[in-house]
Amino acid sequence: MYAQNTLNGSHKGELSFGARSVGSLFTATENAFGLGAGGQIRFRIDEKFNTEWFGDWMTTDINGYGQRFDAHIGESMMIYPGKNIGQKHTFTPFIVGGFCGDFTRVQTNLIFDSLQNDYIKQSRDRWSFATQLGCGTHYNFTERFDISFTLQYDIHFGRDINGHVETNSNGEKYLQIEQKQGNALEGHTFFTISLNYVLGTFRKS
Amino acid sequence: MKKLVFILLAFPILLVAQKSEQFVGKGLLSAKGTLALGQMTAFDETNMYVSANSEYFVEDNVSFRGGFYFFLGADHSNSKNIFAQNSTLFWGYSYHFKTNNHLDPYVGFLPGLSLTQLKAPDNKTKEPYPYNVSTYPMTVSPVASANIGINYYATRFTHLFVEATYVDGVHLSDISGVSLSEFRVAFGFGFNVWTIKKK
Repeated sequence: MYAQNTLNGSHKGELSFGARSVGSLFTATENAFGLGAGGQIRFRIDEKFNTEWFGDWMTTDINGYGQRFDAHIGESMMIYPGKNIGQKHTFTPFIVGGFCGDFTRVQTNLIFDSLQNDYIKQSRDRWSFATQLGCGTHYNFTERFDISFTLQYDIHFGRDINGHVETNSNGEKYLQIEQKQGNALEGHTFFTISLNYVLGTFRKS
Repeated sequence: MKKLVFILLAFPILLVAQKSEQFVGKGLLSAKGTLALGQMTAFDETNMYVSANSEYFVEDNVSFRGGFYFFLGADHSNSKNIFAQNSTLFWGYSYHFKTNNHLDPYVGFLPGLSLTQLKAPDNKTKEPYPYNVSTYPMTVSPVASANIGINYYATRFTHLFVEATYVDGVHLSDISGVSLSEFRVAFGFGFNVWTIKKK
């Protein structure tokens, strides 16, 4: 039915809106698992070439000793190497890559500072750019509605920030945040699950 | 009397049997509000909510939905009241299985954001570390949720529903993270209207 409304049955020019959940394993902060929520807009430039514009907010419990907060906003290119694209009840695999801008804050739980003789929180944050590459697949429930699974590896370029669990002289564990001078790389595995619906098609006949 | 009971019990089935086509479809707008219960899976706590949502069918079997759970508090018959606040805003899509009647079974996937806060103890100084030093801040926590439910569109403008939702996330503050994992159940009735003429 939808194919009758598209131009020559092509998906070129489709604009879709999606809601997504994201998960991440951050290597610089004890490999802690982060969970996030966000959304995305896709605009398909060509039949085999799609673009994805996304934003996420993610939080991570660093093994009970601190927290990490990440905001992502960026863009990815999606290339479909297969033949059957966006057809009902089929999988459409894709290769995805792109870049994003990120804000990261790492903070400790309340820890006792013997110098101040009080409980304090330490916090560090940074802005960074990242590039990501991965793969995934759509599964189309209908021609306009899909669920998408994506697994990517992100590399962040920005000020170095990391956290390690240390043990003090009393035997208590705490999160030690380090932020060195200069830039550094940080990698993390990143996956998303999203539901997307094609709002309309924007192209000339 | 037996006849009356039979008619009351069989009434929904008779309504369903009268129809031979799917009631829901593109252009249907529905909204509902009700009380909801939540059972947290990490500890023995039953939460109470006012739940409301609205959904629009973008095509016959797909709807976009947004809504909220407003936290009313925990069941006070349980002494372990963990949260002072656990309200959730969510958005996402639902897939509605094809039927030939007014029943509408569906599954959904709804990311969201929860406004969460741990309940401060009455006397913090008597609590062990770190609960005696926490400021118990209110924070925003991303959550993922999935739901399954069924609507029964009894009339052109009203429907009944029952729904179960699983929510997963972590509340972060200035002490160790606390799981937000929870099963929520809601049922009641809602209103619906056709925004475009049904074919």
